[in-house]
Amino acid sequence: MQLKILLVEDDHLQRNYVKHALEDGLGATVEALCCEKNFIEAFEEIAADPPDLAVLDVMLMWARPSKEQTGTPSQALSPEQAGLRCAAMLRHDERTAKVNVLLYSVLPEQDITNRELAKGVVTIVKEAECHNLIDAIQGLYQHPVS
Amino acid sequence: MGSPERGFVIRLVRTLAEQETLAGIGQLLRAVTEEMGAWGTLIWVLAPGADFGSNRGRLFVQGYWIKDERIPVWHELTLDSMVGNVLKSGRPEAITADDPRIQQPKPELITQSGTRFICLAPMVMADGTKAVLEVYRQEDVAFTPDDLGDLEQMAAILPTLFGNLTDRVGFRLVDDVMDIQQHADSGKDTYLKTLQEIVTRINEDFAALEVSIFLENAQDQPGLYVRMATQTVWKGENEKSVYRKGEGATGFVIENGRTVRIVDLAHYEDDQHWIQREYKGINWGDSLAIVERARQYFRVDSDARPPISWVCAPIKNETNVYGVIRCAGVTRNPFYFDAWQARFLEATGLRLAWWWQNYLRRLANEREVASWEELMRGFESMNRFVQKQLNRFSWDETGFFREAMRLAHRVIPDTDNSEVRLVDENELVTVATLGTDWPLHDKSRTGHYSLKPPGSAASYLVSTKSGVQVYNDVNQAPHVERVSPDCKKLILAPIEEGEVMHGVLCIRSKSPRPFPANAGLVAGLLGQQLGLYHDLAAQIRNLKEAERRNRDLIATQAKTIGDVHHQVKSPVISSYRIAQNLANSRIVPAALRTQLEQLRGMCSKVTRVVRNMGMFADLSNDKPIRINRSVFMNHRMLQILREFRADHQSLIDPDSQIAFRLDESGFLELTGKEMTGKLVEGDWALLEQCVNNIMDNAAKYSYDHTAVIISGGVQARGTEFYISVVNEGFEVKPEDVPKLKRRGYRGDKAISATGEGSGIGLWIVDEIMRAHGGSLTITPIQNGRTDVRLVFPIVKGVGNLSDAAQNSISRG
Repeated sequence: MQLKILLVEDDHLQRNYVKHALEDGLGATVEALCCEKNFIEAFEEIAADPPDLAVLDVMLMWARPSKEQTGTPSQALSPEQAGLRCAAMLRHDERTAKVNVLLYSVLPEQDITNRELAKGVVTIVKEAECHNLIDAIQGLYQHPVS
Repeated sequence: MGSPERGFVIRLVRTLAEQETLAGIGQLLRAVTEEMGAWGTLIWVLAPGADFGSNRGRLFVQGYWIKDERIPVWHELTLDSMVGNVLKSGRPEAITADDPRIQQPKPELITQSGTRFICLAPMVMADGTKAVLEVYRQEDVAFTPDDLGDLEQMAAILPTLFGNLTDRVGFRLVDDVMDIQQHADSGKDTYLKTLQEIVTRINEDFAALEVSIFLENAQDQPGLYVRMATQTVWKGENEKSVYRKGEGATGFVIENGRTVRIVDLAHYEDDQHWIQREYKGINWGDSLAIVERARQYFRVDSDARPPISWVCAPIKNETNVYGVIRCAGVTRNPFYFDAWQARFLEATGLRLAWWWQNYLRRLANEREVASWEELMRGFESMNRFVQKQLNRFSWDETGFFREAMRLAHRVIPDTDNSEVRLVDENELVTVATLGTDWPLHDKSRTGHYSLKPPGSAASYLVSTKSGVQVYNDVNQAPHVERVSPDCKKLILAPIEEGEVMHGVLCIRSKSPRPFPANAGLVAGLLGQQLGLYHDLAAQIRNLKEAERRNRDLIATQAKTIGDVHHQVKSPVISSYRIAQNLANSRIVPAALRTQLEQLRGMCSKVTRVVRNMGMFADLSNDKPIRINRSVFMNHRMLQILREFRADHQSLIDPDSQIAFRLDESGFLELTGKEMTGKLVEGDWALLEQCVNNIMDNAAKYSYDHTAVIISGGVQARGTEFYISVVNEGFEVKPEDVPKLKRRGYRGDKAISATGEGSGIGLWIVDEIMRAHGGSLTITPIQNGRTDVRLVFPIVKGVGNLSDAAQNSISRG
């Protein structure tokens, strides 16, 4: 089975690296988004054809700087919660409720799991080579989380 | 002489002109048959190794044409036959079919065809081989002396015609092989396909029972010549597919680089003496199995048995024998490999050697490029790792060593196991292993090694402070410890930072083939990198220890960071230099330059983060900024701005298309004005930190498809020097400007909510500028453009400027 993965990561160096690592390591197809605003805008599209798995960075920028942008919604002012908000959106929509979510962050695991929004979400700490991310995904699909 | 009106020479030449393939030999002989009013024609050729003194030797049919193809043609005669007599005497002869000199029992060809008269003429083939042309006639008309004269003339021109035809066929073979090589896909997986095509093409002309190409891949299996392609009629088990030098006749060709041609191996026992004379030291081993197999294939054991021929030509150039092309047994007339075929097979071998040599070079090059790419990726991820770890103040050094060793295993072929040993007082202690078949805690094989002689090879390296050592033969290494008895070769790379040697990276392999040329360099770079990170890890451990001891986390961090930041930044700066040196060196392919630029940019960013933390610590502890004053030279300033521009550009998301541009005019103007005096005094490291911080901000807050312009020069009537960074992005309101300089203020939080940034960058810049007696000015221009400017007072030297420069400054 070829996995379909949604990746949300704002650092383009990390984004490209993780994308290629998932494609090469798992033979997955990876759709990559760069910020919270992108995720929200693309949500209907995501929900219409949900991925098998979403890998989300936790600290995400709201949007790429742009001339057209009018401002940032007040709820998006805490970038350290952005990935968790995206995870919650997936969980609360019945079309995407079954999408497996992995939080992939540089923050220590307990920093994330202590947060309200992160309850029940698998957290992987960022590593140089993404081996742990790939191992976690492989583990997930050998022993699927219901 | 034949009668001129018969004009057979012209007719034979015309016949030749129509021939394209070896079947043309038959057609030429058909023409001869018709000219002679005969029923069939044969050419007999004397096989190599004949001895006229003892009347020993054999003749084989080189070509024939007979009217009734159902009658079997026999293939072999001895030197004392009728044909042999003509060959020996060198005189043509016309005889009747019942001549007692014809070998008994008479061949079916004579008895079944009703041949009455036979005419024979001696020939010398183009390569000097003696031969006899023989014509059969059924009609009851005896050959006349004129016929004999005609046949003699034909025997004189036929070798030239034959030579012409075989040359054409041979050259076409060589051309076709070159064509196949040139059109071969350069992909490494397709070389077998190309070799198979070549074998097939050779066999079109050679019609052999087996054609094989054996080649040595010196890089992967030195000394082994492996069958790469074959076309064979043998079913089931195949014979030997790997040869070494001197092994069998094939090995003889490999060893001596010369072609071996045997017309008939069935007489090997009889011919041994001359084969040994011609090819001194040759042994046939299981190559003789071909005889039995070929007999089974032809299913005959009568006088019609075709010879079982064998030819093998080296694939070689001036210096190397890369392999052989071997052909065995021929399935169509002539049933043996002729001398011209051996010659062209040899020519094909020469061309093939050129192609194979190029292939091996390309392969080595591809492998080297791939290993550099892998190394670069490895370094990049290690730097990412460091960057993230710095934010977390945590460090898993063993994990990092293992990561580096995994990288070594990937980029240095054949690496079987590796080990990191670190210096601990007077010992080297194993701290991490990868791929070893013994556990780390097995003290009999790993553990502690004294640095005093006679220590291990690794301790020798440490105590002598040597550079990287590559031992392709492990026995050449001094004081080899036998922790790995099956180790054949070894690389030892010092793990060092600056002058301090922290330990050794040992890379071992069981393979007998040598390490690739770049292995030492790669291991050296890895060792260097490990040294840098080991240093960094030590500092982070200190920091964690301090954290544990102090409750006031922020103060502790601030203090400890302040203490360590100089050490922390140094390894990353060294990584930066490695990347920069690699980017500038010729050993790295041009295609990797971009990646190296990016790696350099990343290192530079890590350095900036660390420096900011250090400054933050100092300022938080009310520690005054120390300024190591030196002169800011104009050209040096320009040079570092060029470097920074490249560093920042390399880290920009390509999708955003933000361009960093450097407007050099302000600097160049000063260069032209003979500025001899001091312009600005200050601390270069602090200046760099300021410029980088404002460039970082510009990159973070710029809109897509905009440019960040960096410029500099003299302003305000020659009393101030400035460096300006103008970007177009989130609009800064004039009332927000003072807040931007405050500690911890995140302008972006209100605007973009970016995940990064701690709001200390501009605060630090402002502090540094004020310590220099200058200022940080932030000026919103129109349309979201902001000019962030570092302004330094020109403290000295204005008086030294020439009038022209003064004027120029005044204009500024």
